[in-house]
Order: sequence, then structure tokens, then C-alpha cells
Amino acid sequence: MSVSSFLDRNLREGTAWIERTLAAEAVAARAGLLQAIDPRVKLIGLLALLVFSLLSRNIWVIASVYGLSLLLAVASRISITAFLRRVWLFVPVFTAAIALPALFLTPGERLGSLGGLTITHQGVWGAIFLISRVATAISISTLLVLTTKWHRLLLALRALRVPSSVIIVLTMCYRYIFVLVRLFNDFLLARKSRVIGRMPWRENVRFLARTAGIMLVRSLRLADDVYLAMLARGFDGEIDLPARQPLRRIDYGWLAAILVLIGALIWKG
Amino acid sequence: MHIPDGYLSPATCGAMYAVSIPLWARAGVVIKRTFTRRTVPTLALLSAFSFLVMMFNVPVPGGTTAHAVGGTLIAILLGPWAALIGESLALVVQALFFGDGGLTAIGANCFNMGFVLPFVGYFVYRLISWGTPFNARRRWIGAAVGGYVGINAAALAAAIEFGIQPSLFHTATGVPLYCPYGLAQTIPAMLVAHLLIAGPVEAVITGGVVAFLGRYHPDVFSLNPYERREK
Repeated sequence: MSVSSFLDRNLREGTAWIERTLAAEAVAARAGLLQAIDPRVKLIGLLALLVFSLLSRNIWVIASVYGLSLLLAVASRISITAFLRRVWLFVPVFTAAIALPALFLTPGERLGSLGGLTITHQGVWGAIFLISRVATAISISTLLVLTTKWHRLLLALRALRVPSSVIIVLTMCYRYIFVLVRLFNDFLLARKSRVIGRMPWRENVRFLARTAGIMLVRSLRLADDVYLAMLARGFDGEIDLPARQPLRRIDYGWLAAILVLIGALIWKG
Repeated sequence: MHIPDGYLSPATCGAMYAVSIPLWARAGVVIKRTFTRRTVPTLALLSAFSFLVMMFNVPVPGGTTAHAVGGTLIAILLGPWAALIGESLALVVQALFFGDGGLTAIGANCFNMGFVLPFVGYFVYRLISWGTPFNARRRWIGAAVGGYVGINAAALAAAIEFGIQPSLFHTATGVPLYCPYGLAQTIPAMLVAHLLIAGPVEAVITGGVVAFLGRYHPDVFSLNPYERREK
């Protein structure tokens, strides 16, 4: 592999990653249905739907939850083509490729054959279950992340009894990921500007290992600096999270709607 | 290696959370003692670094690229408990914000990549490098072998979690409800991929970074509480 393509790939992905994250923040700022719901109850409601769809043994129930996720995307003013693309780009590449051999490998009743291999009834349904579950789960988690500002999503973890110290570390971690991604991009650009032609594989790997080493040392130094900055601002080992907001009528309505829906699907399915 | 939602049954996911929660609690206690009040920024930066390592594309001879995990590396530098927390937090951020690994599979992913990988890798590293100075050859060789063994152990753990699904969770007619492959298929599939591609990538990155730090920044190694105790 030429050095430029390997560096370019990392650079391209790093930049695309930052852009995608910023785009998600823009969606979270729109005035839509899910954006209006308190992140704590939104998280619990969407997790309940996710676990319910994973527990279900009825394909129509899973399909209904998937259909609901599309309605929620529209109600939350998420571009439906972007939403579908995000889900169905991932599903075929990974899950369909993984599910395909199951058509032939799962023992059971013969349904037909393809190129001398026997397709079983159990294999086809196993593949359908896997693909529909994965697509539904990705849709639900995409709804969560696209309609919630990142720091509010982390604060919402309180509803799941995640300790506040963990939430603080996660918040700082998220923030510093961007600092480190930018730093890494700088390393890559600097390297790219100094290299012409192809570099041997050994040289590329040595560059990456050295870069990772330097970034680790820098991260640890930065942690020390951040600690001193925190001390200078009066840090005494305790950090208070912002006060919890009271739930509003729409939040209770959302929770009730999810409960009714799950109840109805259990009854019908 | 990042298990998405839908491959493991909720019961398996629940069991993996139940296994991981006491490990996180234990790691929290060890880390508070080790880093005292610097814990918050150190863990935040460490997790951000773990996240970045998992994002790196490492070139593989033959033209493609693969990702490393980096758990053994962090275990070598800051101890395996810090690696458990660093990797776990990075995995939570990945699952929550970037869709890498499922929300229900966080417990399983943290167990495989946050616990099995760094602990096995670190044990192998210590076995090989015991009693040597930070810049010794046995250090980076131990790191490379540790990284290789660690990621394969984690892949084996994931393969077992996948492979038990069809026999435990199926309909009355035998339709598998989650991962459709049994142990006889998941173990060879996961191990071939990791023994041949992901393992060597992890070995090269872990060994390479340890060689570099041993030469230019040996002071970093003394952050590991177990190294300090030995001196």
C-alpha cells in the first residue's frame, strides 16, 4: 500500500468523523418530536423499545418497531434518506455478509438449493431475524444520538444509575477525543507533506507506533495540565452535575405512549 | 470484534453486564488508590486515547488496513485495571455516539476487550519481560506477544458468546433467534481472522509503541503501580 493512500485514508476518515459528529449536533438542535423530550425519559423509552424488539420472537413485532422508528425519524425532522442510508449502508456490508452463510449452514427442513448447496427453512428465518433485529437496533440508537445534544445524553445516563464520577469522566473523554483526533490529523498531514512516493510497510508501521507513543505521552501530560487547571479553579475532588430538570407533560406522555405501544404489541404479537 | 445489537440475546447481554459490573467496581477502587485525585483527567485522556487507537487504520501488507484495540498497551503502561476502565469508557462512547458496538452489548464488549484482552495480554507481557529494564528487548517482544495473545483471547471470548446463541435461543422448529452459528463455526471464523490479521496488527502496534517509549520516554512505565511496587 502506498504511503499516501494509507495516510489519506486515516485523514479522510478523521475529517469525515468530525463532520458527521457536527452534523448530528445540528439535527439535535432542530425543533422535532424527540428533541423536545427530556433526554432521560427519551433514553429509557428508546432502550425499552430496543430491548423489547430484541426479546421478541415475532418478526411482525420487530417490523412494527422498525416502522415506528421511521415515523419517529420523520416526526423529529431527520432527513429520511440520510436515516435510511445510515442504517442500510451498515446492514448489508456487515450483517448480510455474515447472515448469508446461515442460509446453508443452519440444519433444518430443505427449502431449495443454490449451486449445489441446500437452503433450509430455518436458515432463511435465522437470517431474516438477524438482519431485522440489527436494522431495528441501529435505527433506534441512531434516533437517540441524532436527537440529543451530546452533553445532555451523557447527563441522561443518570437515569440508569450511572455514577456521577463516571459521567464526568465520559464528558471530559468525549471532549478530548476531538482534541486528540485533531492532533492525530496534524501528525498525518505533517507526514504527508514530507513524503513522496511509496514507503515500505515497515516504515509506515514504525511511523504509526511512534505517533501513538507520542500521543500517549502528550495525553498523559495534558491530563496533568488539566488537573492543575482544575485545581486552580478550586477542584477539591468533588464535581457537581447540573441540577435535574423536572419532567414535563410531554415526557410523561412519551413514556405512557411507549408503555401502551409495547403492551399492544405484546397483546397482538 | 465490536458486537452490535441483535447478535446476542438480551439474556446473554444481561449476564455479561452482571459479570462486568463487579469488575468495574473493583477497577474503580484500585484506580482511586493509584491515581488519587488525578483520576478524573487521567482516565478521561486515557479513554480518549483508547478511542483514538481503535479508530486508527493500521496498514496490513497486501493493501488493506485493520484496526488495533490497544488494551494490552494501556495495561503495560498504567496497569490492567486502568486499562479496563479506559477501554470500557471508550467503548461506551463508541456505542452511545458512534454506533460501534451495540448498546445492549456494552457489557459483553467491555468484558472481551476491556477485561480479557488487557489482563491476558498483560500477564503474557509480564511473564516474558519480568525483571528487565524498560529499554530491554524483552520488553517490546513481551508487549508484542502479549498484544497478540490478548486480542486472540478476546476474540475467543466473543466467539463463545456468539456460538452459544443458537443452541440456547431458538424457536420450537429450530430457527435461531440471534447469532445463527454454533461454536464449531464461530470459533474457527473468529480465530482465523484474529490469528492472521488483527493479532499481528495488535502485536506490531503494542510492541512498536513499547519499543519507542522504552527508548525515548522510559519514565512513562513507572506510572504502572505494579512496576513501582517491584522496583
